[in-house]
Amino acid sequence: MAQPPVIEMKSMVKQRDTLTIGPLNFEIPQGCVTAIVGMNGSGKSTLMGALMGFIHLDQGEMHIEGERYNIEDDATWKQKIGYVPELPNSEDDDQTPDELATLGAYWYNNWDWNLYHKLMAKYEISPRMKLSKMSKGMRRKFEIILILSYRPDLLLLDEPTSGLDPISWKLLIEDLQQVMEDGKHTIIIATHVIEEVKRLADYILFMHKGQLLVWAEKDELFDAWKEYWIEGLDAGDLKGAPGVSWAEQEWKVTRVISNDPIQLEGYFRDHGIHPTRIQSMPLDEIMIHMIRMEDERRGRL
Amino acid sequence: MFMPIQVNENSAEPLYAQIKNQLRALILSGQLEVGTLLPSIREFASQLKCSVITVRRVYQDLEVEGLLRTRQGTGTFVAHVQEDDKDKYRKKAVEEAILAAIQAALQVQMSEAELRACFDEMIMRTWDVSSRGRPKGTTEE
Repeated sequence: MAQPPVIEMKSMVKQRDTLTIGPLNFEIPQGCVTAIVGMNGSGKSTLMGALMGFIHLDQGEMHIEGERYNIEDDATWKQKIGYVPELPNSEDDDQTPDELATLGAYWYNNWDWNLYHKLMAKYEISPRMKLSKMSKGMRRKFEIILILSYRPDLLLLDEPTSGLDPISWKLLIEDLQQVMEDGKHTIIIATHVIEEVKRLADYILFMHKGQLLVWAEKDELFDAWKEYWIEGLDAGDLKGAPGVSWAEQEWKVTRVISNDPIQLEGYFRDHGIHPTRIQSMPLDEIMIHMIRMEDERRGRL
Repeated sequence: MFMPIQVNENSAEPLYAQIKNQLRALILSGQLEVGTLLPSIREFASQLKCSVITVRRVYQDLEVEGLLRTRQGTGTFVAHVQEDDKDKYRKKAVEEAILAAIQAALQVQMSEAELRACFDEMIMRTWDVSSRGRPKGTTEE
């Protein structure tokens, strides 16, 4: 508890063309996986760039392990981060994995040749093939291997698994879990893959139109959303019931989406309502309802 | 190590409470023996697809209850369980199941007398069935 968060973002603002990102306030706790989710163009990659120190903030500040981040500290900071950007770096096109690994060994104090060779063999990457000749998935795997090989404290992964086949995907998820095992590493992952969030994440940071819609512990978020099916009740009868985010009638069944199940179930008990079905909701549906509620709220302003 | 814990996604009970109750049941019923090393927090979280925060809370709470013990650098173990705690738990588990049955009876407006009769019948059926060597827990329709 006493240890400061790996990253603390304070009132970050960044103007991007027509989109204003921020003000954003959040923390990235050590030993945890934080997943950044959101639609295309919601500001995820800009946020990743800011965390990496690539993007100059218009306002606000970033604190690393309790200290304010300065561009002068950059070399130290980069030693600790493994960053996989959304798109491959075209400057590396003519390089081979072994050439880039030699460079990595030169730059990074913690470079681990054994780990590099082990991972290259495990993921079956040709060490002397030019990156431009690789398939999208193979190049992606290599990019991840390259950063894992210098054992950074913090992994910053922007849609790392796009283009990966299902078997490589599973291996990678397991390897990332392995990295997290000692509780000293931290991962920030921007992703559209719901299953990745389910399997890996401890915290969820949900971006929408440049704003932070939710920053929550994953299980709390899932516990806070439930779907109920109720027979013999009109959707209109639930007017004034607490915790109802959405209610619609489909034939004889009313489907209720709740964003406060404890309150709503209390209401059900008091009014003698017995749902025939209760179920948890997948992340994408939770996101859809959050966006709808946010848009309604903004519409009212 | 694989833990026989199953999260019910169709339950209003928070994930944290589900995991804690099931783990406690495994310990008190003796299915997890004293001294068993539990999975690391991260490993358990990935098995259950939940966050490490939830698992850490469960381990801490059960440690406070005296059911688990954490040794720095080694991991979390099942601690010694008092015999009378086990007895209490056996009774409590059955009581909870009966309570659930009573709730079901109330939902279909069954009277107390009907419920008692139903219960007696079920007991007789179960004991008769097992004495005829049928598998335990199965009843004839």
